[in-house]
Amino acid sequence: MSTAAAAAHAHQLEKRVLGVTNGKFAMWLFLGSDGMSFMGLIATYVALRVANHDIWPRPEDEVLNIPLTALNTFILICSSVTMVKAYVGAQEGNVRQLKKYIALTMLGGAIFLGIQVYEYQHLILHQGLSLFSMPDNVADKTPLFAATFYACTCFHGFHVFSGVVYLGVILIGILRGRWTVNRIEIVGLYWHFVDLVWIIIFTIIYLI
Amino acid sequence: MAEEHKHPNYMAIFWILLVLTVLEVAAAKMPAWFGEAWWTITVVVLILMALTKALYVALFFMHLKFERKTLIVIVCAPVFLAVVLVVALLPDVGFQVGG
Repeated sequence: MSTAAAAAHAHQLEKRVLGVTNGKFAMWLFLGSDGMSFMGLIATYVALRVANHDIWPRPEDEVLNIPLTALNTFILICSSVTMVKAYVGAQEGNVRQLKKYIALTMLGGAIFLGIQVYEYQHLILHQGLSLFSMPDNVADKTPLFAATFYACTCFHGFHVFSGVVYLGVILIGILRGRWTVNRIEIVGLYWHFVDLVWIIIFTIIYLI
Repeated sequence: MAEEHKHPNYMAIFWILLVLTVLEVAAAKMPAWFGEAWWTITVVVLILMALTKALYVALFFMHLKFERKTLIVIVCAPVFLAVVLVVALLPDVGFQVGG
C-alpha cells in the first residue's frame, strides 16, 4: 500500500484481506448478496412470465416505452464511463478530473431517475398500469405483469437513488480533501453493479 | 499501488456496450417483423447479448479481469446460485403451464 492518501489516513478500509482492501472485499460481498436479491425478483418475473406466456403483454403491445428506456440505458452506460474516468483521475491524483467526473456521474444517475419518474407517471396516470389494473389495449392480459414490473424497476431505481446519495457523500469528502483511491474504487464498484443489473432488467423486462 | 495495471480502453468498452444496446433494441423487434416462429431465437439472442454486456461491465469497468483469483471465485459463487435460483423455479412453471 503506497498511495499518498492511504499513507496519510491509515484507515480500517485500507487494511487488506485476501489481497484486496477490506472495504473493497466488503463491497464485493455486499454486491454478491445484493445480486442474489435482484435475482430473486428477476427469477420471479421470469417464472411468472413463462407460466403466463399467453396472457403476458408483449413488447409490440407498447405498454412500456422502449425508445425512452433505451435512452435511459444509454445514460446509465455513459454514467459508468464517467465513473471510470473519475477513478482514473483518482489514480493519477488529478482532483479536478475526479471532482468533475464524480459530479457528472451523479448527474447521469439523476437524469436516469428523472426519466424513470416520468415513465412511472405516464404509466400510472395516463396508461392506467397500476398494481391491479392494466391499460385498455391489454385489458385481457395479466396484472401480474404490472406488479412484477414495478417490483423489479423500483428496487433498481432505489439502488440508483442510493448510488447518487453515496456519490454525493464521496463528493463532499473530495471537496473537503478527505478521499482515497480505494474509496473511489469502491463507490465505482457499486455504481457499475447498478449499471450491470439494469442491463439485465432492460433485456428481460422491456425487450422480451 | 499493488493493483496498478494499464488502464483498459474504457471508450472501446463504451462503444461495445452502445452497439450491443442498439442491436438488442433492433433484435427485440424480430418476432414482430418475421413472425412468431422467431420468438425463441429472439429470446436466446437477447439474453446472450445482455450477458455479454454484463460481462464487459464486470470484467473491465469493475476490473474483475485484473483481480486476484480468490476474489473472482468469491464473486462467481452468487452468480452460480443465481442460475440455480432460476432453474429451481422451472418445475413450478411446468406445473402452472400444465394446469
